[in-house]
Amino acid sequence: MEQKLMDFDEWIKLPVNQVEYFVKFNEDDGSLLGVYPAHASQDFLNKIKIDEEVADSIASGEENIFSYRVDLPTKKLVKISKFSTHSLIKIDDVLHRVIDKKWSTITDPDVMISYNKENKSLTFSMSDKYSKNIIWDGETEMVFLVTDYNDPNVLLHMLSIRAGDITEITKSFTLDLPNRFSVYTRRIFDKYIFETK
Amino acid sequence: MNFGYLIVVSSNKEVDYLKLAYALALSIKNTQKPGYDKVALVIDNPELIKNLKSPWVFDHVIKWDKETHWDGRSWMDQLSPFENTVCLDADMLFLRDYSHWIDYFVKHKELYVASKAYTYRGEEITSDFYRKAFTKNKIPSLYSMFTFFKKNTDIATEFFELGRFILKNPIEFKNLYMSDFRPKVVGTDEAFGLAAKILDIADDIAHDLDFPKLVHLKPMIQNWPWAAERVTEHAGFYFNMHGNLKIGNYQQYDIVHYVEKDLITDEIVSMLEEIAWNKN
Repeated sequence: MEQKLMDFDEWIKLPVNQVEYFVKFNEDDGSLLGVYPAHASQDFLNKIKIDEEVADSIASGEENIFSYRVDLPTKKLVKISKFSTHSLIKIDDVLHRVIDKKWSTITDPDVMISYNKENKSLTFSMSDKYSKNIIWDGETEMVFLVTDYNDPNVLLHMLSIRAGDITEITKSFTLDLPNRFSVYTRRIFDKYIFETK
Repeated sequence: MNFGYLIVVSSNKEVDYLKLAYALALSIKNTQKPGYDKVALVIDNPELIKNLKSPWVFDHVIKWDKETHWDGRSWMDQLSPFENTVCLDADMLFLRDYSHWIDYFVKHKELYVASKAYTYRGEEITSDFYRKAFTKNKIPSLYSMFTFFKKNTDIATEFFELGRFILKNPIEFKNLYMSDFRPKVVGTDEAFGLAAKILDIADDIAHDLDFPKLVHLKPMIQNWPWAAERVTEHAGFYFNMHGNLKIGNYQQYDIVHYVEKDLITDEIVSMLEEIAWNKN
């Protein structure tokens, strides 16, 4: 039987080689069991569609299936972020001074700290890149030491925050601080910035 | 009394030595008494001084470009505008008044070169990790980073002339005097040590004194039980608005030779400037 050709104008609008990908997951804990193209996943019961970008990063080895999990109630793929992204070797990692924006070359900080002198509020926030579809693995406590200016030997306040507290919203503390002070922390992320307003 | 500190720097692509010299000069102005706080800067490009916020910290600016890097210091006797001079390395900081040391040197010495250094915890450095050329070849271990001299004295003139000759002929002097351990480079310290040995004046110009006290922050001589590439990998560097410096949790009182050039940030320079402006 002769095959009828599609109209050229319609054909040219079709996406080229578009492959859809699915992940098969464990229905008890949401862990991923494999990544498959659509035609190979037709028989799976526990599967969700994922972005081609995620499938490519797993296929290329850039990430692996343990980097993700399916959130069972919402059936959404979430990325599991290792809490510590910075290795803690040097004293500047264990006791990292958050540099004032005025003196820093960092333009894309992971954690931002700002002090409003008028309201006496010290506010912590995180970069937007951590705000979507991320769950934190393990203990996520961050301890910030508010100290004399450039001297962690003189401790003024010790503040504890969980990463999840500031990924989507900010967290503020009301503190009456001197004109000059410093903030030190265990360097879990690479880039911290401090600012006084 | 005509006395001053001399700092010799030259342009370098990797390190802004003028910035280090500026921080040192600010720290001298902030801590030394009048009459003991004069600073002369020798630099190949004096135009750069105009970029500093407080160029007045340099009482004399001398253009000189005959040598580069540390070799320039061996000409200190000819470059200094002072009758009594202490020549310093640029990567140092003053933390309190040391004028009583100067009184002693001016009264009793024509030439004195530091022969001891200390860890940041105040222990005298005994390790020869960086100084095997001195110990193996039995050369007096001198630290040119603090050299006092009286201008136009016989001993100083002879010493510096020989030092320059050694720096210009390193291979010959390595062959003659350093055969048991040949350093890759004969620097000012080696040249001064050799000059003292050849002239047999080590006991006159580097005898044991309780001062100058110089904290030397090279990492492998801090008496740590581990290896380190930088002191600040293991101990923090905390300079405050009172002009005080803590390394780790040790308050520093003596002259600190910090070695790691990037420790002098723009923020620390601004702190030193603010202290100087409030003082004057």
